[in-house]
Amino acid sequence: MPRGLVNLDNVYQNNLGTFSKIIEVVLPVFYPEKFYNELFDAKDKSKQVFFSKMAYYGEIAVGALKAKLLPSKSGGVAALGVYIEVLAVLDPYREKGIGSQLLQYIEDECKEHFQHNIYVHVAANNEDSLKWYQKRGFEIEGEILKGYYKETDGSTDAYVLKKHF
Amino acid sequence: MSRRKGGVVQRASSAAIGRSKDDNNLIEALKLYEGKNYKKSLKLLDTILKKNSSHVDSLALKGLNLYFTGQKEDAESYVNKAIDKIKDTSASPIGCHILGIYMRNVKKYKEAAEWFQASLDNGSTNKQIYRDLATLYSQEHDYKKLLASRKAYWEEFMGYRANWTSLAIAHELNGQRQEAVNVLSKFEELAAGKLGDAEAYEHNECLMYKNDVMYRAAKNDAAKLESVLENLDAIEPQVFDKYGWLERRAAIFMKLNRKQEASKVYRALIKRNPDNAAYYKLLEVSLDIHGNSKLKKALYEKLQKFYPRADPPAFIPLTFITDGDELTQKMNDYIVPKLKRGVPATFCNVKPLYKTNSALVAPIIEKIVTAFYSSVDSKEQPTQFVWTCYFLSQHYLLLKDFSKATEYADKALEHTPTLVELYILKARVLKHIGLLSEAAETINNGRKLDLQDRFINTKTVKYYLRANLVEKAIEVVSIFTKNDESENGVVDLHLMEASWFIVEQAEAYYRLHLEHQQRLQELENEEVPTDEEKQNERARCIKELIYQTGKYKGLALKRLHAIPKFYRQFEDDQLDFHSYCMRKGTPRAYLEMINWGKRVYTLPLYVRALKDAAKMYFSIFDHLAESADEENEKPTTDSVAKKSNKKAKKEIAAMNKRKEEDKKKLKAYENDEDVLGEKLIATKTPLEDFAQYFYNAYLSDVKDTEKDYVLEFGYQLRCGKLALSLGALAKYADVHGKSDGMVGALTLCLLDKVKDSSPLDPIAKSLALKGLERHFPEVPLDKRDDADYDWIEFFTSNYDASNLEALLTLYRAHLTLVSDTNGLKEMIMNALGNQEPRIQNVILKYEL
Repeated sequence: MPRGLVNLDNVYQNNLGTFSKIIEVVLPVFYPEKFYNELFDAKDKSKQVFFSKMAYYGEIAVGALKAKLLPSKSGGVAALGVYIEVLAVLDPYREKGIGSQLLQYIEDECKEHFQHNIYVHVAANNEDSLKWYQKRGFEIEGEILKGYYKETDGSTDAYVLKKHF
Repeated sequence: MSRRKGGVVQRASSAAIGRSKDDNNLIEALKLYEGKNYKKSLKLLDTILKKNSSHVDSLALKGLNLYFTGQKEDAESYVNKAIDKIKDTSASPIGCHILGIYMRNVKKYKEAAEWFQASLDNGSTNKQIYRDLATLYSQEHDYKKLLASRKAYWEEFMGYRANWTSLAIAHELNGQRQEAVNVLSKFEELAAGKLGDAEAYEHNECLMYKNDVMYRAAKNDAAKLESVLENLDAIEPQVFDKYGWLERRAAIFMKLNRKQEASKVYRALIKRNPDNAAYYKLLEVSLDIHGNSKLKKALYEKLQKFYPRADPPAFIPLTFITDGDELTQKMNDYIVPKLKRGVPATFCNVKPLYKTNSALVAPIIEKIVTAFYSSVDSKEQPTQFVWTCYFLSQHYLLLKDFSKATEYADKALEHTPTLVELYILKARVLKHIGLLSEAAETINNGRKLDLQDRFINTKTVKYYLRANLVEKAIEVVSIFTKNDESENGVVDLHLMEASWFIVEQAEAYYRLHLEHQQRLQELENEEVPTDEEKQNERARCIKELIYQTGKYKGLALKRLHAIPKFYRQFEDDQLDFHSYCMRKGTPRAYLEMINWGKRVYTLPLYVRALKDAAKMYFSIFDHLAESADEENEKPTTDSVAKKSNKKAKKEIAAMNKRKEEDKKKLKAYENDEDVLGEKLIATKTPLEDFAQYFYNAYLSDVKDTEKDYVLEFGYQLRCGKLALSLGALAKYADVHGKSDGMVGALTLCLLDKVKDSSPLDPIAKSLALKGLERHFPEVPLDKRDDADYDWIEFFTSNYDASNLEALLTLYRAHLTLVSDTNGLKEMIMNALGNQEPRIQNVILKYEL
């Protein structure tokens, strides 16, 4: 099967360094090591379901995605939806459909898991991202969250965006 | 293994009748040995020896049994006992055979061969011994005896092709090419029509081998070459190695001066493999146009049309076009499409061009690529942008424009921080600037991107070692090693013969040794403080530094000693192939191995370890000589040293504990007695050690034309062999010219020893002086004892004084001829000005 220029591949424990590098470079927010390691932590008892992918442009890793299934607040069986924790693409490689492909992957996973909602936090001053998500069917839900981000070089405030389908 | 031990029983049982009881028991014991029942065999042997303690065969067999049960020292003593009881070699054939097997197992091949031979001479009818004997003679390169044993074996067992092939090879090794061809032809005749598909490959190899021998025998004789060609045509349908066949055909045509036919063959070869640059070169020669750029250009233009995807037709013209505009055009056509495709290795492709004609090529390439760079948008064509930055950074690095190299490497890294190659490049740039720790950290960041990438893991380790961060290096390298039984991967790396790591580690340890030694000297030269607290602190520091200095020195030498062991192993590993290659029918590959085996001790890594070892052993020797001069060593009565007994004991215990911990961390072998190399550096005979472990092997393999005469000079001078030093100096001058700086430096070193005040033998001195007069009449030898003569002045006006190595040699030698070391130092600093920062740092830090 011929491969296109942009491809998605799994994240492995060995290339977690590349994965975190992309996020570090792209996002102003600092994530602790645990954030990355929990993808492979066998001892983790919380039984969270993660979705993660890396996007390659040619042979170069340029995009990273980490999302998880949101458990229902009341502890019921049905989940609330899928929450995108990070979705990042290196700046020079944007506008090439890489982010869309990552988002598409998440939407496919949603269908697979019978989910109808995708959530994401976006920093209040990150207009490009807000536009990007809105263009793809996301809507701002609720009020701005003051001081949502703790360790960040950007704005500490954030919006919640939601896509329903 | 079982094959090697075979053979004894078979012959022994055949002659069992009419023997003494001891002998019958021995045969029982032999059978037990054969069945690997070593313990039972030993028991039986003990009953024989109880009655007859001088039963030679039993002693020998006991030794062999002990060897296989792991008691190697006892084994040796029993074998020696057996040998002592034998007059010359007049023992029973069985005894001799057993001794031969033992000797082969302990890798004493020469002795093994002697005992095998003795077994046959004393009447052994076991013809298998001839094969073992041939193997041993092959290993020892004793070709005359090899031929005799191969022949004897062949006469016994003519039914195997292997024996014919090996006989032919033995003939060839003895220079009897015609005999070799005859043997091979005879077998071909006998085998004609009887060979099945299974033997087809072996047959093809042997046919080609016969043609090889014929070709070598023919030399330039036209008639003989014709017959080689005939043979080649005849065997064509059976030959699998089509490249070899075509190459041979072309070579014969060339020798016969039938160049047109040769050129056709080369064209055929190019058609088979258009990416082999050698075929293009040979085609040029066969067309007689290698001196004519115009015709060559036309040729390559045509070839490029035939093979648009092949690299050589596009690349080779770049090597000979000298016209700037034309070259620019061609270069553009070569480089730009690659950059457009984002080929990472583009720079590596053009790098050889810088070597031959940098002045012409570098500006052209720079212009082309910077122009391309400014036409690329970092967002529109991101990969092209990154790889172009990568190219430019390497380009500037090669030209030693470090700031620009850094600039482009940084640009690329900022653009795409997920690309491992960029970290490697950035680290390389930092290394050349001399920032070794920063380089190591940079490459380590790259390593973290992908932990399963072994290449960058290895690179990182190397960078850590270069920065003397040995512990980090071990930590990183251990990710990929087997660490079951030890704390880290060092043991495994010794087992795996990872010589790159061990040499680098040795060098890092040596640098650490020098560093600690310097610190120690500085501290010792400082004034002793009056305050008791500070005195204690100082004494503690000194003790610590003494320990570290010694430890690193020992470790450096310890690691270096691992290298000859590997190479001895490489040499030994050939042993099995003397019979294996014959059985498999691969005579050509076998001969290649034989030729390789004669040169193992001249391979670059061995030479590197050799030179490092020379540096260390020479310095040990020089120190021994110095301390012998200073009869009264400096008193070690530090005022604080007189401590209460209890405290001292406690300190010693702490030190021992620390040593044990170090040993656990630093061991290179299981059950090693000298983990820290303390015994190695405590040697009183450094020159003999150096010769025994390192130098003799090198001397036996190296050709006269490629020998390191500076090393030879230093070795012989320290041995006090002035005439041999002079010989080395003269040879060096022949190769490098008389005005070479090194010639001057070595001349002064020699002259220093010839001085009247030098303690060497006067006859040797006058001989050396005569020799100097003959080889270097321009040197004012009579001034050697004139304290006012300015030898530095002489050196600078007669030799190339910008030769850094030569200046350093003079500086290290501490000559009495040259008392003004400051002047020398200044000259070194001047010479350093032209070097890149990395080298400057090394010399400033460790030499001056």
